[in-house]
Order: sequence, then C-alpha cells, then structure tokens
Amino acid sequence: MAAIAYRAQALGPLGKVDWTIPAGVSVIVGPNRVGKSTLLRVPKLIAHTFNQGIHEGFKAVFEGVPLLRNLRVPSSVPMTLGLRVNHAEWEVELTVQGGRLANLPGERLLVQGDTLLSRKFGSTEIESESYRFSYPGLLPSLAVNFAEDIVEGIKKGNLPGTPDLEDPTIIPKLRGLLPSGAPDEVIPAAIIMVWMYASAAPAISFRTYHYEINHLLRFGSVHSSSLQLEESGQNVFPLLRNWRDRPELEERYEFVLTTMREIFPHLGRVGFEQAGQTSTMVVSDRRWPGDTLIPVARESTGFITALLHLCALASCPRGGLVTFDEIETSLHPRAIRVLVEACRSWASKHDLRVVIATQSQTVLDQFREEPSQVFVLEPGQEVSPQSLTDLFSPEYLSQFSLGDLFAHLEFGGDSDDEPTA
Amino acid sequence: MARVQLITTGVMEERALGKSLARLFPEHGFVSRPHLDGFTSARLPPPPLPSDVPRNLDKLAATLIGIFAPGNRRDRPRPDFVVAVDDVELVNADDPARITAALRETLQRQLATWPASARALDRLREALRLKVSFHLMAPMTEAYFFADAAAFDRATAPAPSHPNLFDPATDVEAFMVDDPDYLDPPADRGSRWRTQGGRQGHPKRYLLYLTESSAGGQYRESEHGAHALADLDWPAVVRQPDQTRFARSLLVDLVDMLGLPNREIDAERTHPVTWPPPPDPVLRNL
Repeated sequence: MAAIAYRAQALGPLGKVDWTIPAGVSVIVGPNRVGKSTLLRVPKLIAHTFNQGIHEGFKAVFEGVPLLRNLRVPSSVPMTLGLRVNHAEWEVELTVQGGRLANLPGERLLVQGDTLLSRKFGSTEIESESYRFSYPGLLPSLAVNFAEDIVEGIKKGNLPGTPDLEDPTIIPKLRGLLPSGAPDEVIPAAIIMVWMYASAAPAISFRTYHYEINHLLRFGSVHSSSLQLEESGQNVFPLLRNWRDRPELEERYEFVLTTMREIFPHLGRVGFEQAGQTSTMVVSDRRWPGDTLIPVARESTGFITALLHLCALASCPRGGLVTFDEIETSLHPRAIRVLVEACRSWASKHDLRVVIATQSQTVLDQFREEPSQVFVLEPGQEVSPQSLTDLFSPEYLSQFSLGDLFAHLEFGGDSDDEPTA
Repeated sequence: MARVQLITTGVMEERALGKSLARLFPEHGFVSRPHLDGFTSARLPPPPLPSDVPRNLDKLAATLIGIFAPGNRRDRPRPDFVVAVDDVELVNADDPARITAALRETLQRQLATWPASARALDRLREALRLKVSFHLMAPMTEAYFFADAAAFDRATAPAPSHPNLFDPATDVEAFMVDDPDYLDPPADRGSRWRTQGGRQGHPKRYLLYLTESSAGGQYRESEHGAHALADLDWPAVVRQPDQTRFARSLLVDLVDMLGLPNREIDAERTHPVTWPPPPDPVLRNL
C-alpha cells in the first residue's frame, strides 16, 4: 500500500495540514470547530479535483470556495491543496478572486523533492527544467483520460491497481492522449500523475448526520442498481439486495448481516420488499413468536445507523479510503466496539484505510493497543494532525484509558487552560 | 509566578476553587481541568472489584502520577504544583484517615508497576513528594459557606426560604444542625433533601432545604455553589483556632508552596491527616 499524505493550508478552519493516513482504522479527535469535518473532506476534494477539476471539486465537496479561507492565517500565506504518494508530491495554490477560484492556479509536481513540472499562477504554460508547453488544464488532468479504465473500475467497486509501467502499450497510449504541444519528456510525469490518481481516487466519506434516516425509513429506497452507498444512505436497501444477488459482491452482504447480528444478537431473518420503484427491508427478531417479519421502519435509529455504517464500509473499493464523521451517534457502547472491530477486520481484509472522526470516549478506548492510530487536531498546532504517540510516549498512554485522557483535556481539547485571573 | 493545577471531583470546585484561592495568592495562577469522579462517596477502603474496571480511586492516583510521569506530552508546560481535593463525605467522616490511607496505598501500588526506568521513577517519586498534595473538604465544600456569611448569602441568594439554624459557634467541618423542620419530615423520593437518612451532617442537603422555594431557585452547585465558592473568604473560614482544620491544612500547604498570602491566615492547628507531612510521604502531605 502506497504511503499517502493529504496536504492543505488555510482551508476552512484548518491551518497547515500534512496528514499521512495509516493503513487500517485510525481516528481523528479534537474540539468542536477545529476542523475535523473539513479535514475528513480533503481526500474527497483531492479525488474530485483529480477526476473532474478543481472548480468541480470545491463545488461538490464544499459547495464552492466563498468564505472558505481560514481568516486566522495571515493573508500572505496562500491557501493550498496537495497530495503526496510515496516520493511524488503535487501541490496547487488556490487563489480566490471575486468569490471563485481563479483559473490557471500555480501548481507543482515534485519527485523526491525535485520539481518535475510547474505552472506559475495565471500562466497557460507548463514548465520543466528543459521544456515548456501550452496547457490550460491542471496537471492531474494530463492523466485523467488515461485513467478512465481506473475510474470505471472504481465505479464497479474495484480498484484495478496502479498501471503496469512495464506494459509496452502504455506509453504510446498515453502519448496519444497528451496535449499536442507536449513533448515526449512529459510522459514520465503524466505516468506519475496517473499513479497518484489511482492511489487517491477511491476515497468516499460519510457523515452520520447526513444520513437521511427518517426519509429512508418512511419512504424506503428508490430502486437502484448502485453498488456503492450514497452519502445520504438513501439507496441502502437495493444496494444490499444487489450485493446479495451478485456472487462477486455477496461477501459484502454477508459481512453486513453477520456484523449486524453481532451487534444485535436477536436479529433474525432479513428480507426485501419492492413496491413499484420503492424498495425496503423487513426483519425478524428471534425473541418473537413464530417467524414474523416487520418493516425496518419499526426498527430503532441505532439499528439503521449501524446498518448504514456497515454498508458504507463495505462500499469502499479495495485499497481505498473511507471516512466516517461521528460514527458513534445513536449507538450503544457495545455496538460501537463491535463496529470498530468490524472496521478493523474488513479494512485488513480489503487493504482499506478507514478514518473515524469522533468525540466518543468509547471509540477512543478501542485504540488502547494502537495509540499511534489516534490523530489529534488542536488549535495552534504548527502542523496538523499529530499522532497521539508524537505527544505522549506509548508507555505513558498504557497507564490510562485514552477516553479518560481525552475527557480531561489531556489531548484533543482547546488550547491549554489559562490560569485563573 | 507559580502555576498550580487543581484536580477536583465536582463541578463547583472545578469552576470556582481556583478563583477563591487566587484571591489569597494573586501572584500565582490556578488552573482547573475537567473534574474527575470522586472516590470518597463510599466507605473506604474500597472492596476489591470482580473485574479490572479502574475505580475512581485508581483514576485519581493515575492522574496525579501522570502529571509528572515521563512520556507525558512535552508541548504543554508542567504545573509547578498540583493540589487534588475531594470531600470527606459522611460515610468516611468517622475516620478520614481511611481516605488518605487508601489513596496512599493506591499511589504506592501504581508507582511499583509504573513503566519507567529506575532513575526516571526516582525523579517521579521526588516530583510527587515535592509538588503534589491531596486535601479534604470536610464533610464537603458547602460546609465552608456556613463559616462565611457573604458566601452563605450568595449560596442562598436572593434569600433562603427557611431560617438558617446552623450554630455559627460550632465547627462547620463537623456540620450539625438542630433543625426539626429539616431533620424530621418523612422521606420523599422526589425531593433532593428529604432523604431516608443522611440529612444530619450534610451541609449540601441543608442548603437544598433552605432554598427549596427560594425566588432564586433551589441551590445548585454549578451556579449558586460556584458563585459562593469563587469569592469565599478563606481567612474567615479558618478564623476559629480549633475549627476547620482540614481547610487550614490546605491553606498552610499552599503557603508552604507559594509563600505568604495577601491576607493573614491562622496557620496553627491543621488537621493531622493532611498536614504536616508524615515521615515517609508519597505526596507532599500524604
């Protein structure tokens, strides 16, 4: 798995971000208004930017750029966005003019610290040490056509992996997709961008408070052939049925149901009902007499929330990233523990990165054995987020419940207390 | 200026104890973190638990050790001193030494297995002996409002709805009232003070009784209590030489840490459970 770091500066409430997301399950903690939710959206912003362009990325993820700049950061510090994949780095400087992002932003592609390609703000030319050519798009778009098959793979729920650079057909194919004025020397840079794209593209994010549970329970899901959960959770019932009915995805269905039964031990049979274009689910409970199935609309908020989280997790393509904001909402501590453990198990099996933003002591206490997977966002950090083990030694942390330390503001709180005046 | 971190076990003390002490020691800073749960509301020492769930006593001990333990975060200043405070409570009032003995034993047990080199452990033990104290409010912080008329007024503002029959000549740390209207009514599960037992000797319940139909609302620690404590006149609290000896222990310890306060306080007759220090202390005074 490639080492991926997301970078940003002066974006929303964030200061300077350099966030390497480890494999497996990690958590982000911090006080309210410090930027956890914004941080969680950075991977999706990068993926959208690579795939559709920077304007579309900001529109899709932040509904545009107005008022997005962090006003506490001096105006001399540019708002930036960037990605590092192993030794390759891409960075774009964001200039807001008239309430929208200026075209032709300054950007750079570096490999092992050396600039491979760059563009000065406002210029239509891409430059390297030895050549330049006219190109009005962002550097990542040099590669995006080539990466179409990767995009298709992602839509189908699979990440085919990084391009096989030894394949002799790739370079001629890429040459044909490059702008006409681009010299052959740009091909290695384009390949690097393809590789960065392939690493960063499969990023999906879910926020518990964006699940439209009431609507879902009341009206069910509209029939859909989708294989990935929507952010609202609206397509969950046909999604589950689609997984169940496709042998290559049946594992997802089994994972969701098995984990649901671990969280809710009395959950019995599950079925699906369709009326016109609407799908819904029915469930039975082993404690009930007979084998009565009742509509899922009668189920608890915690039940449907857990179901959505598990479907979100199972939606993530192999090698991808899935983020959850406030995973703990509506869930009993035991359910949280089972869910976190299920995230670990599924992530390990499918090479995922799973990031959970939380305010829950119960969630944090699940990281006692791996405190380096806990990342802390605090006001005033020079670079965010910081791993908990950068702040405390593991031996020190072993003496405490992480939830207790968090609750008592030893980390993840607002700036240190001011003495009583 | 010294920085004193307070470890409290109630919202009132968390919000206001530092402010009240800063009135006496204005050159120094008092910092409160979110309060822990107290460990004295059940008779001590605690019975062994069937599981390994940490008890409140364990958590307090670990917190005190952790402040100066190696491996704590370096990007925050360590306090110069730490003062932990808990209530004696009625169940331990007959022998408050049980409280300090339980904490001392827990600290020693945790230190014996704390993950650190021998040298680092020596430094840690020394820091605890020089910088960390544990004090008791007897039987609980509200008692001291009965030793400072202005604090009592703030706790019962705008005015109590029953007459206060506490005898000001008696020691608030051995809080007793002869008030049949408070002591005699039958228990009522909907009332915060009409408990089955536990009324005599309980200044907080007496405040609840005194303010049950007050125009300012019934006594609440987080509001009335914090308001009363923030400006508590500590010299007035310890003015009687043979009384309020736990409070005097706290103040004398603070003088030992920080130097003389801006007002004269009676430094004689502390409570031997919390001052002076024993011959082989684990903390400054324990």
